[in-house]
Amino acid sequence: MSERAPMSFEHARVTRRGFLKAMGAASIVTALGGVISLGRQGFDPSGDITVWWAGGDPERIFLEDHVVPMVRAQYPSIGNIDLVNIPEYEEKVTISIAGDVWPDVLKMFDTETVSWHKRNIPMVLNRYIEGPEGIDMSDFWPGLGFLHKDGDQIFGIPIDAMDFAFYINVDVFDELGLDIPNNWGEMREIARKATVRRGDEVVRYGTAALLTWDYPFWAWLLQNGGQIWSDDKRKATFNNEVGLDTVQFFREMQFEDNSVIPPGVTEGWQGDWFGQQRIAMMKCGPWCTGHIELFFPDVNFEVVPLPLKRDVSPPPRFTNVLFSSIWTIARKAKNPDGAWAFLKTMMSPEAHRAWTDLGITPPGRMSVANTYMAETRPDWVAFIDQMVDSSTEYILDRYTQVRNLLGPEINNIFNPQVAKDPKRALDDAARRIEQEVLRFQ
Amino acid sequence: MSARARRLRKLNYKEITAYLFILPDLLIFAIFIGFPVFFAFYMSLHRWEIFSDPIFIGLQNYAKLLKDELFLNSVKNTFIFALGYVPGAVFIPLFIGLILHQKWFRGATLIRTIYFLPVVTGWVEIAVIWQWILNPETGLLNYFLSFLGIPKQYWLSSPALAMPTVITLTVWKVIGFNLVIYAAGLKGIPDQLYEAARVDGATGWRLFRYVTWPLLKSTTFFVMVLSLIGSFQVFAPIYVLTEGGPNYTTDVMVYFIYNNAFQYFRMGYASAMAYVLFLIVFTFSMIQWRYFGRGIRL
Repeated sequence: MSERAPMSFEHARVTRRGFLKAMGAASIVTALGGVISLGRQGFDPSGDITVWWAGGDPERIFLEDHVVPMVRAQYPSIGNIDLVNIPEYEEKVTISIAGDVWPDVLKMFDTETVSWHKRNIPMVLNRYIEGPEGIDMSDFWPGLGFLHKDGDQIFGIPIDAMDFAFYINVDVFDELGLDIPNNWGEMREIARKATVRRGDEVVRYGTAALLTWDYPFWAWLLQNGGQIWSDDKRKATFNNEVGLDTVQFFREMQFEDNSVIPPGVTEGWQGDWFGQQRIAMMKCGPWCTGHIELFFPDVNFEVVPLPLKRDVSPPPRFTNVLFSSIWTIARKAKNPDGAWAFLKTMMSPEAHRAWTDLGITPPGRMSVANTYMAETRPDWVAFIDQMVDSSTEYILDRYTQVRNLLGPEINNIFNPQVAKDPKRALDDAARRIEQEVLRFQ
Repeated sequence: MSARARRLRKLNYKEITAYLFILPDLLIFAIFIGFPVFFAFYMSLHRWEIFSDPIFIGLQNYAKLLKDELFLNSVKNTFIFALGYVPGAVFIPLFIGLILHQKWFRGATLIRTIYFLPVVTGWVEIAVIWQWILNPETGLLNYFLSFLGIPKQYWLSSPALAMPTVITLTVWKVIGFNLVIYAAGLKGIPDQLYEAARVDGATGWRLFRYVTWPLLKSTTFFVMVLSLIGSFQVFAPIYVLTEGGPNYTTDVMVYFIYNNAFQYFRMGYASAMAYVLFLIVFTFSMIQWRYFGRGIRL
């Protein structure tokens, strides 16, 4: 074993110089780091995060194969990312959180966002959005505001944006020499022409039921110059004359023209009937595209804008409804910085391009929708074009109850086996919604 | 120590042992049934929307129920369901059980197994298959009925047919279970009784009327009580087949409670409904016991 040389003054002096050099270098690095991180101090995403969500395979692929690797690359210190796909999502999440069991990142469906915000489930994200690790929210569709903003408070960020458009069977339209419907009158006429009967049997319906649940009703009602709620949201106004007129139009299409496949006939999803070419055109959201492409690859279809009412004076403010899935950080997240790292990455333009590639729905970022999506998915441009005229103002606290109280009455109007008087049906729904929902607003 | 004291001590030891054996089950019962039962009553006296603090409102939830048209409609529908379901769930398995019990019948075990398949199949799978069969346009049932000249029927979307359809499917699903109970009951009837009755000249209907039926009374009572309670608790077929529609004609109490509790999270109001349901089930079970259960030892 060699004997260690005694430390000399010379050696100590050199070391001191080295030390001073090192200190100088460290100061420069620190200063540069400070400039680069622009005050990242305090932001520490290290540690595990739990993500609660619900959805199908494309969304799972998006999270597992795109978002998680991106987060890991950008924030190497982040720990385990536990993606938990929860069936019967709203019920189980609500009960878990009521029992004080919280995730870090949370998906919120459009019907629940406002209710969950009123009950303090999502965190108000302003401190992250406006902080050094923030993101520019002006790139997200402003029309989605009611779903994730409350005044100045931002309680979530939309991953996507959806509205309704018309799906056209191009072969049928070419065969019959039909143009794309531009207004309600043309829509009715085309539906009539595209309907094919053989004896008593309808071989092909002109269109699927166009008004089967709340969202489509709101879209047609808004086009017709109607209003869903009073300004203070304490009274239902969808059952007034405009609402009745809207419902009557579609009722006549079904009961007089017999060009609409009535509810209760398919017992399943009408998109399948479009795929089987038993419907010439239908109203649907972007989620129909993937389904038709996957299960009915032979169908030659095109997505075009929703026909408008056109003859309304003054012109309506909105002509469609907008909805989205909103992602947020849970108020009692154990690792909120880690959750923000995940959320920020998920809401990056890069992630929104990956979302677009998977063909789930149009992305929540306008810049990605208007450039990347317009190039890669031109069939979705119709959805994008309408978004500036679309509204989320229908959304309320306790919206699930609105849907559950209105849906059966809409079915009562259009189900030929019930054929309830539209006025009575709308009044019944309005009365119950006022009692059970609007009085709490 | 006197003999009596020793006997008591011995008894107590036995009792303690018995209580120790049932203690785990008792604890589970207390935690998962006993406590929720009392807590539900406590909740029913409060306005409690899961995230807010409960507010005591006395009997207001119960008073509101009496004015809630949709709740009253669900009570009516539950009774309609019970009226259709209980006779079917009791007498159809009995009838099939009697046939399978005949000495000349071959393959009874196989038939019983086939009947039991729906019992072990989940409601979701059953709903998917039956929705295909019942589809008005493309369903097999309407297709076969068309050969008899019967026009297209809207089994699940017609207010007149939806409830009978749901009742029929629910009875079909439970037949196998009740059949097994009846098979056990029928096997328990000694052959000598039939032989003696035949010696006395009884055949066919009289054998059933005077031997089988009285000796199956306990079994029938048991099946009837189970069916009645089951009918008031019906939920899954409504949830997966009709969602309470069309026009609220299949909206039954448990489905209504579920919506209020787990869709709207009005826990106090839903608990009040649950207590009304409990009172109804309890009352009818007592009536059954009082009038049909005399002399029966289960």
